[in-house]
Amino acid sequence: MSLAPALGREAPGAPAAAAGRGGRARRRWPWQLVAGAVVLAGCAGLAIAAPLFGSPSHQDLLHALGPTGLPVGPSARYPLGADLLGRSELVRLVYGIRVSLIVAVVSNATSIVIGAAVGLLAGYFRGPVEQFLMRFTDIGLALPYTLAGLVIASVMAAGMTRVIVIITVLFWSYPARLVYGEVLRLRQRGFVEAGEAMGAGGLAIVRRHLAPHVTTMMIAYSPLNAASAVAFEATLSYLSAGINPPTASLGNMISDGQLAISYAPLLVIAPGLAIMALTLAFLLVGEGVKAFNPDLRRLSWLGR
Amino acid sequence: MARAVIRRLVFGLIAVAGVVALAFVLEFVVPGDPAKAIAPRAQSPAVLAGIRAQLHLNRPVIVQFADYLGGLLHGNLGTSYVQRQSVASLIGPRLLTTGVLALAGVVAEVIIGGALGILATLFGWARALVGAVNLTLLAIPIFVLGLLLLLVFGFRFGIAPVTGGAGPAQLVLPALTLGLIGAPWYAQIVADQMQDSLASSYIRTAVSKGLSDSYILRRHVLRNVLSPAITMVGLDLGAYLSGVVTVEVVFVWPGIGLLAVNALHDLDRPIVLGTVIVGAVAVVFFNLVADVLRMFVDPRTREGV
Amino acid sequence: MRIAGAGNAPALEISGLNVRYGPVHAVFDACLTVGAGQVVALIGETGSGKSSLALAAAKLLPNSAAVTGQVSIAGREVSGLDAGEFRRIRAGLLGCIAQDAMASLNPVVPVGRQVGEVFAVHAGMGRRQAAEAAVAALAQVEIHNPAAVARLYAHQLSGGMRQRVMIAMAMALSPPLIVADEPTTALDVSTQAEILRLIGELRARVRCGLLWITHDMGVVAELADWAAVMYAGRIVEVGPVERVFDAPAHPYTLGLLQTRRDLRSGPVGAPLFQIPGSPPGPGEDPGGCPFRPRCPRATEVCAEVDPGLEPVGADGGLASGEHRAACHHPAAAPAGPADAPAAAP
Repeated sequence: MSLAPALGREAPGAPAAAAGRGGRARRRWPWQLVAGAVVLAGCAGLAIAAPLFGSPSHQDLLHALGPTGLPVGPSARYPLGADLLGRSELVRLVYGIRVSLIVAVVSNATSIVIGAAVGLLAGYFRGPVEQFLMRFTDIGLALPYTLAGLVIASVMAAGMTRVIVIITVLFWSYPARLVYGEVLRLRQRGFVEAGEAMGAGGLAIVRRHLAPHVTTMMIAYSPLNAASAVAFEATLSYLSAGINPPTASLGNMISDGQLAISYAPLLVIAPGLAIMALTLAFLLVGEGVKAFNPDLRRLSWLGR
Repeated sequence: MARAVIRRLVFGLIAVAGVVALAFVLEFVVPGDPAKAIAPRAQSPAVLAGIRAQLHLNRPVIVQFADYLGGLLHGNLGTSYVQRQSVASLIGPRLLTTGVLALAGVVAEVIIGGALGILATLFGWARALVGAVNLTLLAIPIFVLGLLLLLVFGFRFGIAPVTGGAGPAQLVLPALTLGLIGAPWYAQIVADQMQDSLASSYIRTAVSKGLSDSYILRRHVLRNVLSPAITMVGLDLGAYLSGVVTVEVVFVWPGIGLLAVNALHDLDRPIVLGTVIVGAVAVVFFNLVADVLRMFVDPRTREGV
Repeated sequence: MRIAGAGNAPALEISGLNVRYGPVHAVFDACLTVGAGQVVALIGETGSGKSSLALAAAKLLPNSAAVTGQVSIAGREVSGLDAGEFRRIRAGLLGCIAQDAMASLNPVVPVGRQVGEVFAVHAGMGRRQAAEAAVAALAQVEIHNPAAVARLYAHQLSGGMRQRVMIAMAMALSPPLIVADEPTTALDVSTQAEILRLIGELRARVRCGLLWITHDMGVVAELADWAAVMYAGRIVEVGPVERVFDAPAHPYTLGLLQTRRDLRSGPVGAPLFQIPGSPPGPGEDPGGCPFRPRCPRATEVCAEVDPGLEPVGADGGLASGEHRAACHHPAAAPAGPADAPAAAP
């Protein structure tokens, strides 16, 4: 089934109330979209306001660690308790959310731009270019990406850059495959031939005929990709292949907190819930966007 | 049928070749002095030069690549910087350990996912519940789920072991984690396929033949579910093996994943690269196995149609 | 295998059958009889309720459909049985042939096994016995090399062969009644002719009653003993085929036959006869006779009273009671001069 262009002009008569039937203004916003957007906005707010909470690396050895040296639990001063090094869990949580959001947004953009470009080129130019690019894509799709992430991590210094690079390198093949398929479908429907028959050059065809469809698809795919990015960044940081302490990342907070799991489970639960909230928010936004055009149901979430 | 299998094999080999090339690039061409990694406390340049010569690092790159390839074909994945053993000898014994966990996880995800899918299809009240469960499982990162299970069943209730190891008791939680993470995918496939089957005419034919509901489910509906489920296992392998790596770390399961992550900490690059190559080969191999299996189960996918 | 006592009891007896899908009333008070060994054609266009009637009689409608009325097969009352009881005996009572054989066969199970299932489950045969019986059944439907075909899958067979497989499945236990839902519609003309011939022979050999649903009058003429015409969920005419075709009483039947005559033997270039208007949509029930808006004979009484099936007077030959039509002004009866034809709105 081919993807309908933006605005759902060609969407089949889907029974869902939110399906495109023209008349965008009168559509009801799906609850998934609203709920997800609210959570994301809240997290973004937290992220921007992070410095107001305090410093994530400030260690309060006097008050945060109890008489036995173990971190204190939730209290007025430390609403989520303290971690093993006497730092405020709440402050680190907020900074961790900030990191996750930045990584999600940036790596999402880079992986989609690269992936879409590859898919477009492969689908438009066909022939040896197509084969070459798609073989690369196949490799990308076949790799166990945690292992591959470890490899890349082994040659780069810890930090946000490393994580963004890893995610970009490992994620671009999915949008590439999607865009490639879409371009082939559009070709089949004659868009490209029509453009060429009218004497349009390659770039013009890409710009005016293919780009709108592809853009819509990528916009719909972005939230799903971002959800995967959040989860993958957390996993990488957990495995010390992403962002390492003392910089706060939700993933490395969990690996640090794992040592104290039996007596201070909040150190694992709080960042865990934060990751889930972010992932769920992106997923819901993704579902909500899909509701505008039932053809997009094919897009699935690829993350573990 | 043979033709399709061979074609898949060729593509798979190309993929592995690509991974090997990339691994070589990273091992020998990227900055970082292997000699220093092997002997971090060595100060004398002569000693370091000697190590480099031993590693053939002073030869031209092409020759090094040829050596590398030759070594690979003989099962030589290089030597660990830190442990003074060949990478292959470190990975070898762990293949089975990881394999056991991977197999248990696949069984778990197919069973849990299948059960959820069947529930959601046959019982209207279950559909919303299963949908919520699926969404939660999709949103939770695998290591968070693993830790949660460890917390609840290991520490709170004390019924699962909390120390690492590779025994049957230790297999339960990691396999369960893998199963729960993968379940939503299989639940979706099973539910979709069951709905298609149940709505189809051949179910009506089966009813008209007086076959019982349970017979129909067993012999007609579930058979049709197998094919897409197997396809999913094949497509999913890359992501699935990633999950296995993480789970091994969470539960300290002594497999290839744990080996790779520890090697990363120790800056022991050959091990990391070796595991990636093994991983790529595994993905290709099991993809092939899945394809062949599917051809058995679903006659429509055999060649010629 | 054949249910004892089937003897000469009518293969199928339906009375007062009503089928509702939620608010939509698909079949109104249907009464129909298929005698032992008789072929009854159920004629109607799409949406007339013919499939619903047949499926309801065969208890193949989903639970969401509300079915009331009496159904007896081979003298055995089945409408009152619950699903489990009926399931046990249905294969020996009633065989069903569906329209789309490709969709009605499981694509991942060899066809031989699908035929053999009936024997294995209901005739208590072991696996090998059932397989042999399946091959024999395939041979009965004139499939060449039945043993090899039994191992094939549905997508590897031609349309005609698939239909033969369906027939073999339906007739496996020689049931006294076969319900066939347009089984030849999807086939090309020559295959259609073969399948018709085959069914005719098998039926005569096994002496089963056959309810044949169709919209193709040609098939009716060739195969059927009796014809029943359905319109808007009601049986509007029923009788021996010769009478219905030669002296149709209901204006709808007349229209159908007229259309067909024009198609087959009308002058080239002349406009085809068409019944003006269109049938009521599902759920539309304005009251009175459903055909009234399109009927040239309609009068006031037609708008108020929904006519039931009444015997149509016949002159000579068959007993008049056998030919019935649901019309206030059946063709055999003269139209009263006092009833001026009402204008259709």
